[in-house]
Amino acid sequence: MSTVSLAQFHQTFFEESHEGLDAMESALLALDGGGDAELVHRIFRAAHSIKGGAATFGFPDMAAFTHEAESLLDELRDGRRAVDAGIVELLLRSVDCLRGMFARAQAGEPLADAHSEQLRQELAAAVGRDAAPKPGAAKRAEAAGTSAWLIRFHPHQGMLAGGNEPLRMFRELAELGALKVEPALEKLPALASLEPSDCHLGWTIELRGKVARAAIASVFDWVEGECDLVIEELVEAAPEPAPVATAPTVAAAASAPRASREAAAEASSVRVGIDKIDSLIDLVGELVITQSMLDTFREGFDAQRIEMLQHGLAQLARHTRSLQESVMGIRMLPIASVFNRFPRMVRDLGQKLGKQVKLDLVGEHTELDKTVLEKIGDPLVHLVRNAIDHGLETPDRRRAAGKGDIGTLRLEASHRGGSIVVEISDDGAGLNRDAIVAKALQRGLIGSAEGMSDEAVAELIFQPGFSTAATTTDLSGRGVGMDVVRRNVVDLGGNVAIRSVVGKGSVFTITLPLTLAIIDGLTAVVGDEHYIVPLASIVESVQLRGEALRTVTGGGELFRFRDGWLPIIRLHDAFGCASGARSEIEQGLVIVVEGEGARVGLFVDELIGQQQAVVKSLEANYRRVVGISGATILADGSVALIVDVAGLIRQQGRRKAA
Amino acid sequence: MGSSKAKSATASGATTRVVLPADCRIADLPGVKSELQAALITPAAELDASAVERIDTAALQLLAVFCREAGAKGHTVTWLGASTVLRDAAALLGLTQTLELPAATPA
Repeated sequence: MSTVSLAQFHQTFFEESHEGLDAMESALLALDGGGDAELVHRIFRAAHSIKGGAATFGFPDMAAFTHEAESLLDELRDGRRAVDAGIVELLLRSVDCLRGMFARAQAGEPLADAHSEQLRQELAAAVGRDAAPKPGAAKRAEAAGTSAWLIRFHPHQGMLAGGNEPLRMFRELAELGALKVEPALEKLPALASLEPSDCHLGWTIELRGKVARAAIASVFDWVEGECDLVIEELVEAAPEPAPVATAPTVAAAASAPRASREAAAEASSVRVGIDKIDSLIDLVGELVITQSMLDTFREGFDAQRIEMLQHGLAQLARHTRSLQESVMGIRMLPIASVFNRFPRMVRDLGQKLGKQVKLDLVGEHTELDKTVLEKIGDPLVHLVRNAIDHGLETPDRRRAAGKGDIGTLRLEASHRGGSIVVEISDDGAGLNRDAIVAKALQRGLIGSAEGMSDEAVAELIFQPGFSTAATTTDLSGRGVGMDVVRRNVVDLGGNVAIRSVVGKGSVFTITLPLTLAIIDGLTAVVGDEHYIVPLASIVESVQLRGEALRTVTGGGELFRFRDGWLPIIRLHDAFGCASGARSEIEQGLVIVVEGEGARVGLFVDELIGQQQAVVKSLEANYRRVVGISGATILADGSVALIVDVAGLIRQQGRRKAA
Repeated sequence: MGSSKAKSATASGATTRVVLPADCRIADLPGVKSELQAALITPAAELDASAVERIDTAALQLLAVFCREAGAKGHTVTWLGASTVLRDAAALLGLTQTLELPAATPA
């Protein structure tokens, strides 16, 4: 063996394996609801690739663990065993355990721990081979290495043609211990009909020596799927104590290592579909053609060719725009990667709480910026958890309310304008106005609920430290509430809103920007400065006349907008750039913007126009400034600041309160 | 050793001799197979594997098929020579008996 470092491939292996585990999990969940052979195949294939990779990249513990899972799956695949809830549960726990192993692998820690070892033995015990090795014996054998193994190795016909050489494998086996090889010649055809590259031989091999099963299995890793392989312990020892039944006690331990790893060891690469790369290459090609066309103007230019120049420039603009979209598209990943964790979660939570939940996932292919995607996971988990914990009722309460036993939880992602909207809706009890009001009064959040609209009451749940669960389950009462959900979403430049009807259910709507790297904005002039106001937060812009204005005590200014009055924020005041700025409201423009669920008018001198702004972090290049979300560079090379509407509104609120 | 990849089956009376090539692996087996088929026609066959430097399972399988079939017909198969490479490989695959390889290498 050469000593090429395989470590360079680890990251790819981890990423692929995570995908594999996700696929396994979703297929297992589908299997739970009555599955078919293809699902079992899919699970098997995923387990198989993980096992092969683990063995290749030097994670023998993981390979050994997956091997047991795979043996069990093999029995399901062959129909030697029927799928039942117990097996699905066991395999789901194995998926969790493997995730834990991957986390430890990424952190460079030892892979196997007591829990994985216990689960591995459970798997081994569940594999009901003709004379299933007793778990006690298996354990001893694995720990110390057993003294004798029987290996039945029957290559499929095409194995030799595939370049897999039994001689090599047998040599490796011979290094493990003493071999006794018995060929099976029954299937050999007549010489005339023998196709030399087909394999008709089979072997029964007796291997003696202190060898772990995994070590033997790893010899055959490359030919899995190309042969029938059975590795059995030659039991010569005295019988062991009775086998352990599937132990439910591990379930709690299974989920423990999961939560803590989430944040750690985050992969910082993106896997990009080849179609996206191809379209990029196409576009770059177009761009090069346009460039060479424009290049011809270098030799000489006369007025007759101006039309051609304009044409070229237009083409350049078009291609640049497409290229930009394509490049941004590379960072766009389907939201399915976040949605995929929910079937499992919903199932587990439902079981735990004695609620029957049907999960509908809609629009999983909606694409989101990777950064947004990474950060939206936790808020979504929280909302889903809440919906099951607080929203959906138990079957008897549902029946009492005249609804079906099974509650529906729906996650829907869609594009809406320049935003992504994710809706989490349930057909549960809806928000309990009285409970919320009582809690808010108790917490001193409000003085009285007199005259509060339902919307205003619903908004209360976004207040810090708010939870109405009558009893603290292990789901609620974690000290993380809806306020954190909202804060997280707002930090991403998005917003959360709630609609709820008592007895009918609730809908949480999360609106997110498509990407954080480029925004569409309106360029506004304030004094000598340019500011970009994100288009997504603009309602409209108006020129005000005197009669639409009111000044209220305390220095606040209001203007009439449609049927109400909105406060005015003078940008030159807010940002301290009064020099040259217009002070008469009638002379300038007011941009009506929306953020944090409130509307205000931003007073600016004038608007220049709409443009796309590539967001540069102000924090990274200077420091954090309240009311500013970043900066961008304008066509003339000057810097324009991007207005953080929500931040500005918050700041204004504080200023008023002070 | 010599270049024994070329036509090497020589029939003399009732005995056919097959000389196995130095590289006796899957890609070269169709040729070897036709020689062995020819050797099955005569009641006696001589196999010369003294030049074999590389061999694989497919080749050993081919030889095993040949030996078994010859044996079933009551033909005799004599090894004129067998390289260590061939012996080791045959032993590893448990085919020494099937191939009726002699205990020691004759010159």
